[in-house]
Amino acid sequence: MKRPNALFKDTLREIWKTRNRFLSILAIVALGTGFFAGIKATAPDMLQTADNYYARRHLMDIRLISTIGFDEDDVAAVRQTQGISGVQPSYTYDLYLQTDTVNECVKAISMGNLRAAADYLNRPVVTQGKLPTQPGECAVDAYAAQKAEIKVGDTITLAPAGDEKNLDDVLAQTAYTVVGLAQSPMYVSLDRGNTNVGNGQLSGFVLLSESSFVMPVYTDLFITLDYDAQTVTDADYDTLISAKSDELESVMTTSVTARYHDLLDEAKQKIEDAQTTLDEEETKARAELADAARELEDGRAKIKSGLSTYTQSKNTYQEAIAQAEEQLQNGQTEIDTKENELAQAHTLCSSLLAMGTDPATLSGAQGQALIAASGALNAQLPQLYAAYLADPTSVVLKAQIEQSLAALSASLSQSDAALAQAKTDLAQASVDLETQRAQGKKQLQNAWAKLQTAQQELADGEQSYAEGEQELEDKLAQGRADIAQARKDLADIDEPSFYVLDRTGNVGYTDFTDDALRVDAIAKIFPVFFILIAALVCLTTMTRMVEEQRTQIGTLKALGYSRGQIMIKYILYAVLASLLGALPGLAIGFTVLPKVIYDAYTMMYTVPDMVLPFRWDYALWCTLAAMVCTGAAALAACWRELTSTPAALMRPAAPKAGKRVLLEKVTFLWNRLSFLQKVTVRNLLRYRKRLLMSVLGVAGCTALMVAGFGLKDSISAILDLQFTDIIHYDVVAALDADVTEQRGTELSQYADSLPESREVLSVCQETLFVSGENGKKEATVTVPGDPSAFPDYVSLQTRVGRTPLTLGDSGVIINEKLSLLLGVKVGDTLHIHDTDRKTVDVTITGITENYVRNYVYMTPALYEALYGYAPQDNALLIRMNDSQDAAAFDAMAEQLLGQTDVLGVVNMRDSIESFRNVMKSLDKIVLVLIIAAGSLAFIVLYNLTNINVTERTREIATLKVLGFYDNESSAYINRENIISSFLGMLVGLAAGVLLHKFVVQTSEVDLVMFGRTLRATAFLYAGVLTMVFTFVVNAVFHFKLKKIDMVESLKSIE
Amino acid sequence: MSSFVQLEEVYKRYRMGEVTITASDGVTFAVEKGELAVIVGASGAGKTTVLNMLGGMDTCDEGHIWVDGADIAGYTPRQLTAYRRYDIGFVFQFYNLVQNLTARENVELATQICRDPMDAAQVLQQVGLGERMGNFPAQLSGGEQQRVSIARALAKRPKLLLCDEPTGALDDQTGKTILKLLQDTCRETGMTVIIITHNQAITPMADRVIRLKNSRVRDMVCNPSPVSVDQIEW
Repeated sequence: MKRPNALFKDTLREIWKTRNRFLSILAIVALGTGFFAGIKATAPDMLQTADNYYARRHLMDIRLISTIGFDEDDVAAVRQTQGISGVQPSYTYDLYLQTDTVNECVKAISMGNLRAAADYLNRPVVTQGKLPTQPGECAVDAYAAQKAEIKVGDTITLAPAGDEKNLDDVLAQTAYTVVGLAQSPMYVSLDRGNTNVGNGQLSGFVLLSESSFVMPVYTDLFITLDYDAQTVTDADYDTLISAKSDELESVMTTSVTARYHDLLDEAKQKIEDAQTTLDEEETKARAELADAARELEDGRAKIKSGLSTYTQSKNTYQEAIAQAEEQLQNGQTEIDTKENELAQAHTLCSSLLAMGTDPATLSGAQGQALIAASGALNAQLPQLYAAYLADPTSVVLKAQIEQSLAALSASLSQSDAALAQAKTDLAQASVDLETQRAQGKKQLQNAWAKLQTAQQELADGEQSYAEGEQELEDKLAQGRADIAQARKDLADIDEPSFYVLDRTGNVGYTDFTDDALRVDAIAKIFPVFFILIAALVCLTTMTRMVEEQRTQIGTLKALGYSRGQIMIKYILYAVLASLLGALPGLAIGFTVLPKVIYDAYTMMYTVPDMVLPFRWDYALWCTLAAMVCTGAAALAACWRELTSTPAALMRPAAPKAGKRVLLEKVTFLWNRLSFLQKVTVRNLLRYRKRLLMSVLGVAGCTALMVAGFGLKDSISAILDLQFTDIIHYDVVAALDADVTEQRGTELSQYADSLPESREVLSVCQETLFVSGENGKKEATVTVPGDPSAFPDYVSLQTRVGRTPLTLGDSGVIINEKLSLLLGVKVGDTLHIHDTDRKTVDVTITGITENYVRNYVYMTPALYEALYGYAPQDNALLIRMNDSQDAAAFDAMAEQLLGQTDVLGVVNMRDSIESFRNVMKSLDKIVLVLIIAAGSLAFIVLYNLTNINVTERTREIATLKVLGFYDNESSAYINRENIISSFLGMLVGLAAGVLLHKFVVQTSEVDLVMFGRTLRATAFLYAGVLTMVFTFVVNAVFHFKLKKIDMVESLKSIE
Repeated sequence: MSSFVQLEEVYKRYRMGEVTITASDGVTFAVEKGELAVIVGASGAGKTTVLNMLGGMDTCDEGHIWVDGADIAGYTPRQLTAYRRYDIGFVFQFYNLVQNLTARENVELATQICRDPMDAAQVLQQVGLGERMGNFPAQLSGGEQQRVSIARALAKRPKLLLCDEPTGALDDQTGKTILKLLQDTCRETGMTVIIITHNQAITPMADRVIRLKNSRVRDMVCNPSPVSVDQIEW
């Protein structure tokens, strides 16, 4: 084993002797492997850091949300599912956190810290203080607390942010003592998410003990699954999640839906009961009313008969009275007549008596009249008188007369008595009548009064009947309305929706993963390019080395060493350089690059310090690749020499013959060159291979820098392009999907009426799958309510040339990225898929410039033509008077969110802001790229120049002997360097365009299109940097050239 | 100081690790203007060190080196470069032509940096390469290449032509023609030529022979009647 040993020693000495070369290979390998491994490891490191954090903090795998909450039965049902390792039922509620100075919308979350360890999920990291265990204690989001200047020991107030007046149904109390500050694995992104209350933006979270909540049902179920976080692969995890999600969905379908139906049935039963009760009550009330009506009717009849009886009585009475009065009158008249007659009779009788029986008197006129009149008293008297007169002496007659007169007088007296009696009687009768009248009248009056009372009673009865009836109707109407409302409400209660969310539903989780993948996308192409350049340079260097060692190879061969033994030296040299280069490269690559990039990202995340595992697989592959590359390069370089005979090798290699170059034929140009320029041109073209290597190496680095700067430009271009040139609205208000057209119009007008808004456009936006030639992607189908106003909100235009596109009824306009993803162009057919509706085909009439998200734009008319009904507007695009005014936005957002049917309000400024942050972190990555590309450029240039110089040491020494000053001999070499670098730079700038295009396309995610144009500055920076590196390398070599000993020129050619 | 070239007690020491090697141990000699001098010595006798110092490629540690009245021992590196540039013509053992330049261009490489150079074509004509000046070194024989090398040295109109084993890489016959060229040049143009060689055989052609041994001048002999190269055999 002595010979290999000697060879090994020789190799070590060789390394020492050519340490610059060795170091340059080492450096290139270090840079290549370090960059490759570092960039490659960044994304896995980021993900692993996050995964470890999630595992340590028991981040939920699945989150269940239901519109009707969860009760213990649901929890039990979930627990019974196979493969579940923990379930934490939890309350969450969006509300205002208030202090004297702060009013922020936050999410109150109940803590599971008092539950069994397996069920204590989403464990917060306490940065200060402790976690709440008692009602009245809270822990505040450390990030939000820092912004709001809330400290441990402070008291905060929680207030409703939505429609409700107080939090009585939610929380046991509203004042809380801050006992700690915490970070949550649920919130790794500084973007805390959206809410449908307040200004629509959550500022953070506040953790409360479960006992602080008084809600009847849990709002969330957090679930962890049974798997080993250390060993599970992404694919397995995804499979597990999707399987368990389905299972839980079916469990919940059973459990929650059953409960929903119970609730529904209960509610239905209640309504039915109410209906029955109402019906019964109605019947009863109606019966009562009917009775009352009947009674009233009776009363009315009674009053009627009473009235007629009264009238009859009154008539009878009046008749009786009248009759009696008439009788009385008649009696009086009779009495008066009789009295008169009697008085006359008396007078007559007295006269008769007074006249006596004197015939003289009797025969007088007076007498005669009296005698004629006496007939009225007694018909016989005149005869008697007559007889007496005729026989005045007849005493009989006289006596008769006297007797008759006496009788008459007696009879008159009798009549007087009778008359008196009659008078008395009449008077009595009159008195009696009066009495009777009075009595009758009184009776009548009583009867009337009675009737009146009865009538009043009846009227009252009627009144109360009417009132009762009205009351009943009202009551019934109310009852019916209530029931109808209840029925309607019941009918309006949708089937309970429950959402099975996995971690991808978490903003922070998704963003962080996306960012890591973005790094990975960049890692796809840059490092490969890098390694390629490194390999190229290694090959050149090794080739040069073998050429230099020609004689020695020949000697060894002559001494009888086998090819393998000789080769081993060079391979060993190369492999050692790779190995030794790979070690620091990997060490630095694995630590510095992921750290720098991660730190750039942590500006936007609250995540723990990065884990930087040494990735043996990458390390091994990288080192192996580097060793194989350099080893193969060494082998390739050796091969030609080793196939020559020793004798040929011992002779100095025939110097590469000089040649005239093509340019010399272009005499007018050639003649203009100075002599030294001619020499340079010829030298450059003499070593074509090396020129090619130089040009390629430098070009690669320049291209990397162009791509780096270009990537930065492309990403930052999105901001200006998307939010200035394309999107003109400032705010999007999302409406309930079920909102009616009328309500939509109302809300639109309302938004328009707000002082902060300038104009409003209602649109219908649906996220649907669309497909074309090459695939199926999700896109937002946007149907503006008024297509003619749409350009004020979104500019539809071609990217190249900025030609405005008009939305027509004949087809849709889609964005460029979508067209690229789907492989479609104008005139092609786009299929729009929907689970609930048929798939429709539309023609693409335009492709518009757009950088964020994918859109399909169509007119309402087209929509209606496709689906058969008009689009239902579900979002409002709002342009504000001053889009920069955050306070105005908050005010408007609160107003809008105060409206029912407004689900959320998004400020485009926030989107811009979050983009800006993404870009800041990408800037750092780009900086890393540029620094790496720059160092690569430097090493490549150094190495190639080194080769150039070592190869031409003799020439340079000769020049020195000829009397070239140091700067002249430097210039002699450097001029070539500068020209090859310059050529490399030019090629690199051109290649940079392609590399940039490629990098931009590979590192883009589906939702984003980076700017496609390269700015002149990217070329400028990359070009200038390349030339700066060239000059730095030249400066370094100026000193190295100075050191070249002129004695070299005297040595024999090896 | 009367001589054109004069070395006085010139010492040059190299430190090789812990050992100090004295490469020039008080070398003293002189060469007159227009002479053809041969410095001869075995390997390791200190020829190259003398050449280096005389050629302005190295400095001495002690002593004086007078060339045309100037002591180059005290020159700065820059002055030395200027000295090489304007005063010295150098002919290498291995010609040291730039492979990528034609014969003429190789000469021009030197004339580019001179104040009053000869015309390249004319010099090449002079060394007998008038027909081949468009050829690249690889297309020329060794002797022809050495002629180009000499032409390059002469074109600068140097004060001193230093030749380091000019025949070392050539066959005898070609070597002779080169030596002849050097001798003729010396005779015809009055150029001071110093040839450094290990080959004792060529000493008869010199006006002056300086023998070195063990880093010292063993003897210096002036040859009043140098023979023509044609008559030398080795």
